[in-house]
Amino acid sequence: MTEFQTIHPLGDVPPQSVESGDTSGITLNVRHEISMVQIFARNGREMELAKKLNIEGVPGRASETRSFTAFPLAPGQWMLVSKNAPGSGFGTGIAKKLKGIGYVSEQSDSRVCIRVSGSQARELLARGCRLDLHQSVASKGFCAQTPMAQVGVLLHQVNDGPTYDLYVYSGFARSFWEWLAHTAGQFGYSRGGRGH
Amino acid sequence: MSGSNRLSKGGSRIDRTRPLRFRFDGRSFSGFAGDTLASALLANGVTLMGRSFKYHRPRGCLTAGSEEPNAIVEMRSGARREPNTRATIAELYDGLEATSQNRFPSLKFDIQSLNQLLSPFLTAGFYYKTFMWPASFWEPVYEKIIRRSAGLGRAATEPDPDTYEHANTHCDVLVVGAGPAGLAAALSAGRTGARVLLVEEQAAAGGMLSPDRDMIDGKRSADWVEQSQAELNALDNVTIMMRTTLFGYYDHNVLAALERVNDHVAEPPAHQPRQRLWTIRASEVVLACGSHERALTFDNNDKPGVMLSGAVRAFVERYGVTPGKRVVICTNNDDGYNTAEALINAGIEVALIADARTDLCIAAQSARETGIRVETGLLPQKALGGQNVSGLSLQRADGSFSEKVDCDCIAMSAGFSPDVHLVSQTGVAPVWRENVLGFVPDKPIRRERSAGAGQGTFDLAGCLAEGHAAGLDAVSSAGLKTGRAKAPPKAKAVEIAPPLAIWRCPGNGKAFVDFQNDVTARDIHLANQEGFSSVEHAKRYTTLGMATDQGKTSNVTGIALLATARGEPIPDVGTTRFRPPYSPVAIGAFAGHERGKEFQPVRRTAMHACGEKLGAVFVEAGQWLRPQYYPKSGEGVMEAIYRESKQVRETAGICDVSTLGKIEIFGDDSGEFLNRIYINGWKLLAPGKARYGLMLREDGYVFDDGTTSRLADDHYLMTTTTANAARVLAHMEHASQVLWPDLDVHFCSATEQWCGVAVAGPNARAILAKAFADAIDVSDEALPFMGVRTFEWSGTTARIFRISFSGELAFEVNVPWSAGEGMWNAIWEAGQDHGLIPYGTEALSVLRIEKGHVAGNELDGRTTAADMGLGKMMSTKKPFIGQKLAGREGMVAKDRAKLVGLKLTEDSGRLRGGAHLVIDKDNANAETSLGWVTSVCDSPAIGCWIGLAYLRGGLEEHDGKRLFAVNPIYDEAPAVEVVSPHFFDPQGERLKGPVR
Repeated sequence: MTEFQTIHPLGDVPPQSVESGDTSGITLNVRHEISMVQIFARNGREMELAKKLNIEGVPGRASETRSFTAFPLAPGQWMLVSKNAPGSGFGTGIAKKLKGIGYVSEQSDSRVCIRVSGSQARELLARGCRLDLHQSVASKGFCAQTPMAQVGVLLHQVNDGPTYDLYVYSGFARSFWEWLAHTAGQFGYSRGGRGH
Repeated sequence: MSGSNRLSKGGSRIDRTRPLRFRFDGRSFSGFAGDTLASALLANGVTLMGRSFKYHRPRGCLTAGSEEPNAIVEMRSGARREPNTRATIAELYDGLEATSQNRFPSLKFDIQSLNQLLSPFLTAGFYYKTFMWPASFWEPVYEKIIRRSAGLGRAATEPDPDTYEHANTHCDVLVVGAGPAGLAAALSAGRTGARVLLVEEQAAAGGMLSPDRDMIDGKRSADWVEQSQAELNALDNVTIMMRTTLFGYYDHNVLAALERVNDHVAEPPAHQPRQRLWTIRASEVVLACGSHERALTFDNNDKPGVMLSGAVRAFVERYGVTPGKRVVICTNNDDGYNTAEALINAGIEVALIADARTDLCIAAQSARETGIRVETGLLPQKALGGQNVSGLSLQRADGSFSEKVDCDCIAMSAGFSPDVHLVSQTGVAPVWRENVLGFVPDKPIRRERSAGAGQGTFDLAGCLAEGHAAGLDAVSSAGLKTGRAKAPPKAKAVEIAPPLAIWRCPGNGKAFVDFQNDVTARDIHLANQEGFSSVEHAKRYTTLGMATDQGKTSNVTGIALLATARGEPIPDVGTTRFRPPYSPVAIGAFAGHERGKEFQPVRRTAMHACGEKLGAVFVEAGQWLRPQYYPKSGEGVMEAIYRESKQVRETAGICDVSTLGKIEIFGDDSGEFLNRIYINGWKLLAPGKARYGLMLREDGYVFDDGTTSRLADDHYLMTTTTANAARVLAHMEHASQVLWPDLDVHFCSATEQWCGVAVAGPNARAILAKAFADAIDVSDEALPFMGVRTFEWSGTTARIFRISFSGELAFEVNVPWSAGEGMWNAIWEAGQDHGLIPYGTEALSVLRIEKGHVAGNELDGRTTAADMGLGKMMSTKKPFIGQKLAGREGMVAKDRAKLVGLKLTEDSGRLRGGAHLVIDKDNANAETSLGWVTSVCDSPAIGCWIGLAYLRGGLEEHDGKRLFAVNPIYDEAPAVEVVSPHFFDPQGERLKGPVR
């Protein structure tokens, strides 16, 4: 009998890189071992929920807490991303905290997270992202939901390196990766290890 | 030296230490790095570069820039062959290959030049006059002739091996054009710290500046340009994009530009695109687009060797090439004297300056002082010579004086038209300025301003001052601080004498206005005479201003001649509206990455590899790839589908149903929300149960269907059709946010979180019992029909639904994406002893047709619930979306087409979707059609072809009747019997599974 194994949407993407030449290039990582939940505040309980989780609801700004990063998706709605692996009980823990004031939808499998870093990461993203990511406009903590290469992406600027996390729907992950890697070729890129 | 016409010195853009080889029409030549193909050909004494469109007249280059109408060639070869490349902007590279186009058999001897003999018949609008009769010749004869004659160049027939990409950028100030005004604007704006983007079409900045003769801030202009670029490059907040044409100005200051990243090399380096299409979002725009010089309209003004005055100067000063050894300059403005100065400085003979103006301007006096012959009030009448100009006859406007001058180059100038293309794209109608003899931008509609020659300022000092001011104005208009600005760059003020309007020189031969389309002054007169006197009509009738150059050198002259013909002032004629693109953009650039298999992103399910492993043939379902069928070796499509659907009913099948839309719904008011979204009731659905639901659009027609399960008191899972998943979510968002914000209901897509399989057939329960062993009890008692359970299996959460689309005992199992393959494998292995087969979307469809279940073909946006036989589901005890409008007279009319079943009653043949149902197959037409066939299949369960159809009168009127399913495309009209759509197991006995 075949042993049960879980798979990752980008699990079979071959390791690949393009020499960066005289540029400092790009590093692409697939972040495994993360958990995601989408949370909703009950009507009228938005403030209470935000306070309970110590997060903010400022559009376009991610809130960092000790155990997760929260991305506001809509009024009273956030995506929480934790560095804990799926199955670690992250979603259950959040659900317990939100009992009576909100709801939790497990989404760990719904998207993959691709980390793009390197001095030319911004230029790479500009090939597909219509948003203004210039340092004078977007800095660490910036987040947005936006289409890139015809695919809906949740974009998060992790640091001012700059490093970005792109959360892409699992079904589109392979297609999106192919576009990203192809486009990154002009800058030179390397595929990092399993990012966390 | 790289050719007979290369000057021994000069040429600010060429690098004489880097010789390059190239070929034109099979002949080898050499040039220098920095040359354009046109400059390199001229340097080698090649003046004949193309043939005109209609008359196939020999043509050389008229201009030295992107407005070139004549010197249009095919570049490269094979898959990279590219027609209609302007030789004047094609940068030379080693090994460049170019060929002339629109000629046969050669450029020198073109048989179609005989068209000139027919020119009396090939006047404006000849298409409309010549090809009128006999009507039977239109398609077989005339169309073929026209198509063969039409067009310039040949597109490559192989796929383009190069890549193209899209990119986005944002800025506070976009400066278009890096001539003196544009550079001054970029400097003043850039120094404030604003984000500035400067785009320039050419490979070098400086615009029309003369590198040595023009002085700025006390320096040679070439040095000033270099220093300015260096300063801009050093500013982090400024980006310069060279070889980039701003071709479109759209709403909200969104602009589009084409960057020719690797057009100047033979092949793009690895991983580099050939071209990049930029979308620019600019807070403010400075248009410093310059102007286009116009041709004087005299007989034979299209001969090779006749060029615009500025182009002659550009070839001499930028490329160190002389277009001729003895030049006559004909001008109506001061700029012709600049050309004279440049030629004299380069040691080239200026035989005569013929100034149309009668007053001797300051520039003319200076020229005379240097010994140049200047004649005032003298106009060119006719260029002489064969395939190259050999002389010019001239006369005064009143015909009082005439002479012939030998020359091998005529430099002509009828003044300058400010380049108003981009501003016109914003919706601004350009206004006529008599002192400029051109149209200039009117008040801006968008956040833009013009500077320099683009708004009719032709003196250098003025251009610099305007550019500087425009840059600062743009910064402050963007809401940024300008600080204390440096003084604007300075140039010596020069008094420019006004130009004289000369729209048609004396003569009655062929005097071309639009060189590319072979439109003569007479054609414009004729258009007006024949009633096409509106500028837009005249444009279309004559083709003036069309094609690759978009009339940059010809529009204003054409408008002026039309005004003359109409006997009205020019402003009353007005301009045509310029539209994007400003200059040609390859389709490849518009497509970018999105071509071939990357045309749209592909969506794969978690079990894609499982399907591949079992030999699935995939079909695109929206963006999803779904297994369509699994052919065995030697098996055809129909056989595979037949086998799969048969075996599901006999043993069991597994089907990937991950693509169904899944929406998780939370909240205390979820039940109420579903009640309002669906036509049927939901309040009594208990946790652990699923129900079929149908939703309508606001207009009362059926929108979508699917099952929704209650997972907990305040937690539901809705499924939608694959096609409507996103639309249903948007519909619900609208309902929740706009219609009923008071309801405590929240939802999100779970389509990608969960993947799913359907396991159907008599053995389904046994297979799942084995696959999930101790994890879940799938017995009828523990999991009855329409039951739903959540369970833990192999460390993951799974959901099982006892629902059936096939009419068999069936289950759907959902697990998170990552566990999909593991689940498929577990079920597959468990099913090996139970005859489990994989089945695809085709067999899925056969099984549901046999059951009379509606799907996408029946949910076509024109049908009501009652049409589908589901009218009784519409609750009368609660309101729901679409309820009111579903009650409209036409929606409940008795004669509406209703869902019925059809059986093919003939032994051979087949049914086809789309066929129309008629009583008399010999009288089949739109009026006699009683309905149409929506879905068909060759049914193993029924033993013949069956179908679903919408039939006026439905079963009530037609049950058991014989009709014909007419399909005119296939010329078929098989006989069918009208039956109930529930072909197979109408009582639903098989849902229970085999009797134990």
